[in-house]
Amino acid sequence: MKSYPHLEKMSEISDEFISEAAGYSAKRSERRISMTYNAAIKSAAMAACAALALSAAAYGLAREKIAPAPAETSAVEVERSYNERIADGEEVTVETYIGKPVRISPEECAAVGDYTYTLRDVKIGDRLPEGITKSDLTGSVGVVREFGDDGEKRFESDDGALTIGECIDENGTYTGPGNGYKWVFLTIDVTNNSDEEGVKFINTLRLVGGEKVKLKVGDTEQYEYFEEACYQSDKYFDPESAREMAFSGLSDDERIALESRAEEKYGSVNNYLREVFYFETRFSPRETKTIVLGFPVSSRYVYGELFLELNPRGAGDKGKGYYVPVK
Amino acid sequence: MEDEEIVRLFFARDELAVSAAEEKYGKLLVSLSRNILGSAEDATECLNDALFALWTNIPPENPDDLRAYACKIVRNKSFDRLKRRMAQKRAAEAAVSLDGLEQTLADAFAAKPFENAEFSSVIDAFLQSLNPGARIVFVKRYFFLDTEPQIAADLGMSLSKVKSLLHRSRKRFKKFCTEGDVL
Repeated sequence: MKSYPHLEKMSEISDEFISEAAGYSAKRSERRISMTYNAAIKSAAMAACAALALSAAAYGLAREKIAPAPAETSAVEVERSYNERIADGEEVTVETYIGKPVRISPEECAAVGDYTYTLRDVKIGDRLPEGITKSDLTGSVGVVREFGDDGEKRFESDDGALTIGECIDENGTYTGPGNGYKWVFLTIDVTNNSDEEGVKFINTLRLVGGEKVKLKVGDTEQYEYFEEACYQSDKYFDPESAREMAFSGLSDDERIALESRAEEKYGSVNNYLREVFYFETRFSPRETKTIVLGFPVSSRYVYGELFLELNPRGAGDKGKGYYVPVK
Repeated sequence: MEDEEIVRLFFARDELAVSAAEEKYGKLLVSLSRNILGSAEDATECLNDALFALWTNIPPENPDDLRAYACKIVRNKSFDRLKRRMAQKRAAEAAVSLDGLEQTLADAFAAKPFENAEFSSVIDAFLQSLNPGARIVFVKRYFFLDTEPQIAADLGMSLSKVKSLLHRSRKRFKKFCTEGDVL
């Protein structure tokens, strides 16, 4: 007789968790995931933010259409093949810049002022957004040094913070070479300067380069791997939802331009959409969290964006956003 | 009516307890049962079975969490009923929808089989390790057997977000089972 032993075993889940989840079935139309994290999120704030929605994914490509192209000198100069070792003593420069969507006005960004972003361990780029001073940035040029007993060489910034070629496990422990990836780590301190308790979502996405993104938030030592979430297989990929997320907030012209660009760059719009994924966290009042983003150094370049969304994503809602592209 | 009051009525052998429990949790229990059985009619019968079980079990049982207690009863009764129906080859449709779900869990469990008592501590430790959003999605999918679109609607998430959370949770769960460092 056919049976479902594993599903049946789930009856062993403790009452606490069952009740927690059951609470989100009782008032289906009224409950939103925001309440999962913090019941104090005001619906008015969510509604206001919905109007300011701008997809990080859309921005990633649309930026090339609607924002000035970065100067050549700001492009990442790390162009390494998949398994190429960086030579001992070789100097490698990684340049990043930070920016924000050009389509969000200062008024709309008022809430952004409640946050402080300090981008560390990166070389000063040439496209600094308003409100971000060069003093927020520190250099990242360093040289390759021997690392470990196995002769592995890796790039290490002068302050030891930015590393390329490091292989780590999910606990953040160096495991040496072997997984074939080299990583650029970007450290950002994000502070909630307000007294308001709130849910703050961080959406990250990788557009090109490598196959993984690593993320570490706050004191959590464990790195998150998003390889599957990042590139969604057919089994999990939902084109409709991804499309809704990627294209919301765009005008028809912008959407068409983005679709065209995506097709050109990825072969199809869906291929582009597959590479969108999320991560989310919550900030308490006045809390600072250190976010470490790891991008693989792949054949051509490293490119990614950290999307700091200041309000929860409810059904159809998207908070106003702030982007920290890394290129 | 508060749960404590309903339980008090059960202890007092007041039949009002049954109707109060049905009024408060009937829809939830039917929904859970229907997710397993794929039949509203059978789910209603399971609800009645579960209410009767509450009546016979309390007392001596004195559940701390009446809702969870009732959910477990109706879940177990629904699976029992499903087995009986499958033996009679009347549950093809429900079986199809559960097969995939069972398979995803079987993959996660593959690394290590657990006895129920052992599993109880593993699953609780695992759920405790998840953030609230991922935990709720996981429990709704694998305990309440809600569909992904249902969960997305309940939680105000996009469908792709729900799928992504489930995928990552299953992956983490598999690792949890493999490493066995929670025991």
